[in-house]
Amino acid sequence: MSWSALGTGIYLACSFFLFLLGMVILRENFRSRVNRTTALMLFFGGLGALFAAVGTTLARTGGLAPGSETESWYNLFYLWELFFPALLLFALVFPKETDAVRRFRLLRYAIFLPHLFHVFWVSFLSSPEKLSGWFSVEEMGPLARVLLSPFSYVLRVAALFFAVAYKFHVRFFSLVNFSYAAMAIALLFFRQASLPNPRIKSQVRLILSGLGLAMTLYTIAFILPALFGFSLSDPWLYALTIGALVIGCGAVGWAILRYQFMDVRVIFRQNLVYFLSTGLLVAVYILAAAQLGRYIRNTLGAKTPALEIGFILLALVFFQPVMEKLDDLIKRLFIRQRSDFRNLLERFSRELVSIFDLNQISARVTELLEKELFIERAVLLLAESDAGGTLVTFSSGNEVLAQSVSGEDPLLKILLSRKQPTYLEAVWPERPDEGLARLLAGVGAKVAVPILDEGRFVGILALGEKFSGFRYSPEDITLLGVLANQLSIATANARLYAETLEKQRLEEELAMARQIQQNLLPARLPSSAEYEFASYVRPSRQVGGDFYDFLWRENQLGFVLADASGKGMPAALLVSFLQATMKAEHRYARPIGEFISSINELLVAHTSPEKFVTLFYALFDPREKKLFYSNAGHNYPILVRQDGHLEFLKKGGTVVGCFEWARYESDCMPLLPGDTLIVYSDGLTDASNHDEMFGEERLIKLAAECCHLDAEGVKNRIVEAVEAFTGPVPPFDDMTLLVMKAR
Amino acid sequence: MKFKTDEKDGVVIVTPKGKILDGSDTNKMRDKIEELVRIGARRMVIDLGGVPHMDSSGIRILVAALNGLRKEGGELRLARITTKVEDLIAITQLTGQFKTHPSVEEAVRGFSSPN
Repeated sequence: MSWSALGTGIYLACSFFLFLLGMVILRENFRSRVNRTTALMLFFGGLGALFAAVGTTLARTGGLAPGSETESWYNLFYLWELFFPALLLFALVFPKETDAVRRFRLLRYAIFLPHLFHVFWVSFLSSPEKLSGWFSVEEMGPLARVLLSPFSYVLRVAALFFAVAYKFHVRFFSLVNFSYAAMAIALLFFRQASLPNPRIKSQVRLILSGLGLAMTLYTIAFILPALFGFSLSDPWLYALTIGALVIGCGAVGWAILRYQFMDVRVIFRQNLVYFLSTGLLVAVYILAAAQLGRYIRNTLGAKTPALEIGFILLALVFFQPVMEKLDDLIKRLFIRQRSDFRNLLERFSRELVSIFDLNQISARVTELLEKELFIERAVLLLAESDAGGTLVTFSSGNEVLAQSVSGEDPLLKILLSRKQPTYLEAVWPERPDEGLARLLAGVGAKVAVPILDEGRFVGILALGEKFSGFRYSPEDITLLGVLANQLSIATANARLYAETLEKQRLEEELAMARQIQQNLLPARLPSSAEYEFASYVRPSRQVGGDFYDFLWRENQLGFVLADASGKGMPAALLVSFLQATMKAEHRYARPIGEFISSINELLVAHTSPEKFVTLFYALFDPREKKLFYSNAGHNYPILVRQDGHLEFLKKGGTVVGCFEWARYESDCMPLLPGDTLIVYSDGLTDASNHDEMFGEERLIKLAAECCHLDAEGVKNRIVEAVEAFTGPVPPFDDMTLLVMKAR
Repeated sequence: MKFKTDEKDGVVIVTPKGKILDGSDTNKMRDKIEELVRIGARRMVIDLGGVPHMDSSGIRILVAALNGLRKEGGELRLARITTKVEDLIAITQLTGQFKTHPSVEEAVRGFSSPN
């Protein structure tokens, strides 16, 4: 096999491959300029390879006689050089059109002019005779001859000039081609640096290095010899040309396979792989069969037709399984791992179930869409509706978008009613400068995918233009629809998880608050020869709105039981403020009424008017055996005399913390040994067993019965009675009981 | 506890039904009253005929309504108050603060007469 035959074969294969790639890319999206330009470039590349094949064949069969008819056809070979302007145009429009091309539309055509002219020149202006042959003044009428003869001279001079210059045209256009290629490569090089999408970036880098290498080889093979007037030997020439072609084709093919170049669909890429692998296999078969045949012929010395049949049978047996294995291998290498959208979804959903952070979900889905679907910008807008659903606030990542959208926004309503990925241009409202439309326009959205979780509006996946400038394919839209479903589940999970965490945190805080509150209660109950105390506290929640405390003033013992309105944390905060205030105010010796009034004023000043506290405050003088007290709107404490006679301590004023003008009175009672004072909060009498409440009557009756018991005994009797009454019903309100026994 | 609101002769009548205990429905009623005052209600009757019992959160509502209306120069009257509620108002020593009437009609009329 001679060098030139092998060269012709490879040229033809490359040419076929380039045409095929061009067709695939053109078919993928005919309307896109990037695709058309790429296809054009590949066509001219293919044409170059084809011409090279034809050229070597012609040269082998005896070449061309100079000046013959075929020579002018041969000149048409220069057509392939249109590859260079096509390459430059490709560099200008890939992956996005440059501003220069967008602004000066003529530029797209202008860069082809020098080469078109070149073809015209070598075809029609190569010698002065050709030109004057078309335009012969002699054959015209006398008038025309007089009028046109000066023009004819100019034409003749021009023709002469072109004919002289023709001698240098190869050299000159080699320079032009070289500068076009250099410009294209430089352009691609500088533009890829500023690309945001890593996948596009690697595409461009691959194409760039492929083209760069191919162009370098081509330059060494043809342009340098033409410029400097030396020539390379045939094998070198073939090696360089084939190298350039194979590297160029390979780069584009590889970019399609590996990086989904030009967004070529899976099916085409698979076809491409089939084509390549089949071609490879057929080549291996032919080579092996030929070599083996020759070897057998040489050893047996005879030509056996049975041998051919045997080869074909062998091929039939082995071809299919080998083909399948090869196909599997190639698919696994190039396709399975990426971009097949079922794989994509599977991978993504597996990943999503393990993410419980909304920001991470958002980041991941954005990354996936930008990288795998080649979307310039994808934003997950999470919606937060207010209680009435009248206002929707959107957030993206950690950033809450300042502008909120009315629940009645027309675009929002359309998206919610369509429930599927929607091209915004189709539903764009009349006034796109406000509401959701403005918000979506702000993030450059072209397609909006509403995300709903069982009818609840979760958010919008806002997608910008595809990098290739294509519309979204039906495959993409299906993918986005499924993605939206998965996102709704993932975001719901994330929210639940966040709520659980938050709840856990709150519970821990509450437990801590409960500890603090318990520490605020007196550690020990005071007792002396003259008196003893017993107490019971049961908050209905972790923390309560009841408290009792003891406050000394010289040798007099003050004590207070208070009940803040409400329950839980707000009530607990109110009572701790009250407790601190009372401790501070108690230091000043003054009448009890004034003391409570000052507490009231402080509470009015520092709490909202609907928050109030009922409290009973008393000051016991053990020497005088006297109890001074003031009751601020609290349940009447029961004083059980030694003989079982009951008195109620009502004197005082209204609740504390509501009315600035409230004034408090006080009373003084003798408290003799054997007397019992029972102070309690309304949680005790309001304790219920579903049907009825424990009530004051029961408490009063109980109090009268246990006048002979000590403080602890009284407390226990009451608590047991209440617990027996309510049974397993948990307390609705905080329950507090303080029993004092004088002795 | 459920409640409804009506208007009669420029008087807003709030009618709760059931026990007023601490809970979200009670908060709703308090918010509703607050909103009514904010949008201009100045004369209000709370009909307590359907409230057999209340705890301190009921007092909280009444006090909030009373203070809210007074601040705007308005007035609150209570109608058909039950014994247990009356006792609670007495215990908290708020009896003097609320004008009470045996029926809603009388309460409404009370606004026009200098009672």
